[in-house]
Amino acid sequence: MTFEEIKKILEENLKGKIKELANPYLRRMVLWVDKDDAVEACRVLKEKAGFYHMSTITGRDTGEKLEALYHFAQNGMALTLRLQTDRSDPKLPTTVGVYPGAVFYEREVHDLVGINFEGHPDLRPLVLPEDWPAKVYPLRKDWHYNREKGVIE
Amino acid sequence: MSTFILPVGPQHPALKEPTSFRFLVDGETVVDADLRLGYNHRGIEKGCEERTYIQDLYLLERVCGICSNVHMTVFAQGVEKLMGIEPPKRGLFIRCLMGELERVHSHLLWLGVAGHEVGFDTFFMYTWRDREIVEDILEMISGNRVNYGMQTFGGVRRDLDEMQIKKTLEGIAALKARTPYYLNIGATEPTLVARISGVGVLPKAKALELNAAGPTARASGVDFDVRKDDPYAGFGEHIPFNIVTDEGGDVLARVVVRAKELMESYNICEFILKNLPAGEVRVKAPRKVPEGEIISRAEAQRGECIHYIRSNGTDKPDRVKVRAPTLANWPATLYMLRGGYVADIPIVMAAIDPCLSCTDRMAIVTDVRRGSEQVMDWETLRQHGIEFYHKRGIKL
Repeated sequence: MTFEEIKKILEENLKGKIKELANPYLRRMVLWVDKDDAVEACRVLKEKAGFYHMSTITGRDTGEKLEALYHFAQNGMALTLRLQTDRSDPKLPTTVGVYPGAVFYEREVHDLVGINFEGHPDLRPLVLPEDWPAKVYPLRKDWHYNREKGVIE
Repeated sequence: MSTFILPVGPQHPALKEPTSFRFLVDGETVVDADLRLGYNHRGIEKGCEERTYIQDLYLLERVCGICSNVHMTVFAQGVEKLMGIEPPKRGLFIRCLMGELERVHSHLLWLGVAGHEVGFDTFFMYTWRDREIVEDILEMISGNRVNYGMQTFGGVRRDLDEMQIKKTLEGIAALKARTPYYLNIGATEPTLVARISGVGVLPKAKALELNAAGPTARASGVDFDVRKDDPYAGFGEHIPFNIVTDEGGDVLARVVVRAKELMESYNICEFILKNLPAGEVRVKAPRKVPEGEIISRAEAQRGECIHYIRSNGTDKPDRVKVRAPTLANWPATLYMLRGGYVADIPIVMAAIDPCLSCTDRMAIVTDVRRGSEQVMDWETLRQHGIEFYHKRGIKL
């Protein structure tokens, strides 16, 4: 589908819920909705707009907010769904109900950026070690790795 | 009811990569499977934020040894778009050639590993012998057998001369003559077929639902290939090729798809070498990257490889996210393992070509009936699979 076709479908099905819908590069689009509309947006993307594949989820610290970018794909188009949440209480609804393949991606973002996916079946750590301290999220901007200098005596 | 857990992994110094699996088993049947990653999590994404773009290029190449060139290609083409530069056509064709040669060496490697996991070591010896041909070509072009360091912002770092083109074509011709034999063995040799046919079945609906990628998805009849869906590098310039799919959805179909993809890759390489445009191989790239964000994708040997890059106007990226194809295939693998035999665990897991640069290889087996727990390393599990089928008359 072309950008115009997908745009039409999204505008019809997500009336008044779209904050941003753009086509910055060839075969790339960006959709921004409120986090409360996330599951509905995913359902529309999968069932109406033909985005059968979820590529991954990127967690990002913008400074003021935490952002989750869901990357979807279909033949000829890659779409990024942007959701934002507060740093003080980072919560997003899970999309596992719509895209079962998201289960590891959400766990990874939970580990590294510290966004809680409400309703996720299993948020145990996936990539961080078992002795990693609680509430420390390495991909946030305020976390820095300070390696001790190796000294040869 | 008591349970028996079979833990597979994490570390075994003699084996490939670390990941931990826990299998809940009832006698010989796997009831449930669980996975723990991260034994090889190196924090590369965080590391990228603290380095310049050119340093990141080489850091990202080291995400994986087998698909190093793909990560470099994806990152380079994403940053090029953010910079607003376009590599010359010759550069794009050589970028494409490297990708296909890497696919050839990886698929040949995988065919051998698949043979080894079911106890068919002759197959392993044959394919790995032929893999040397393509390794020699890669070394001749780039100077290295792995981690070629060929891509850079604005094109590729080395040009091809007439001698290299001639030698590459000769190597490809030799491989092209031998590969149909492997396809024939993989698809029709009765003992091998008895081991891999109907094993690890992933129906098309499940492959779509669990977002499988690459040959795993294509062997279930999903025609998902980034080279076609989202043409990049030279593929936009009408390099002809076909997507190989198979409706089987089992390990046999994955062998067939990979063997046929080898033939496609040889054709792509020959087309590139015979139609290589003249001119420069790269343009000069700026040091700083204007603010922006981009998704860059490519078809790695194991499936879709995707990077998200966000720049902030400096010479260091604000965020780099890497998703290598293996992670996309884990949910599908756990599905394939459920209901299968413990003896089939090695080949089903090997069939997605796991590259964890990051996966542990021992298993915990929990038996639902006997209630005991047992730790098996990969070699024990592989041997168990071979003996299990020996008793059933399948002797490779």
